[in-house]
Amino acid sequence: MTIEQVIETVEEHSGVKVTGETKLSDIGLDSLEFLELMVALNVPDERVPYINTVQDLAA
Amino acid sequence: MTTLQIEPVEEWASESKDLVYAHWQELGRDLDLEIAPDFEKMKILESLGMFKVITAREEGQLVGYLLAVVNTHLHYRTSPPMFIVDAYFISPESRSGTGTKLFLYSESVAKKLGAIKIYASCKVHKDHSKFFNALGYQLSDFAFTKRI
Repeated sequence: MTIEQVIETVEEHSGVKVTGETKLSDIGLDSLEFLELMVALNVPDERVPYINTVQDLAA
Repeated sequence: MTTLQIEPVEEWASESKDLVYAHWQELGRDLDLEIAPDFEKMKILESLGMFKVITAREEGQLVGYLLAVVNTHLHYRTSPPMFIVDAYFISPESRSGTGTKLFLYSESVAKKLGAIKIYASCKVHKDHSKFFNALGYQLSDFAFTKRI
């Protein structure tokens, strides 16, 4: 998934504008919303603990 | 940046006072008792490989922890160990995804330690059922307490 697609998906889930550098912890998702985002982006469970920024989701 | 790691009881104990107090204030049901974690007992269990402290840090600052006992189950002594979560807490300011990361990291630690099952619970007045269900946990017990 490209960074543009990731940004679009994160913005859909969070309702806020983000960039690659935006920290996921700063966009106000609760635990379930965070998990839904991980599922929407097909992030494997083992990678989730190491995701910090939007950019990390595209890696 | 959030980092997750196993830390010695000693290190966690030296930095956790404020978080432990916040934890007790938010989730404790026995606020008339003194909050006094038995770090020495935890260290003994740690030295036996039976106790793990897993921490979450943001820019190096402690923002959350999960404490777990790792041991063979009394009913299944010939089976691999179980990973029994004693307590977990995330600072209210750091809850956007950090709890998910902490539990997924802890699950990977449990697997590496050879554990075959995780036991975790939450308070009735802070129900995390949806969170646990989303992480693949199943409701298996009701726990009851009684002050005597």
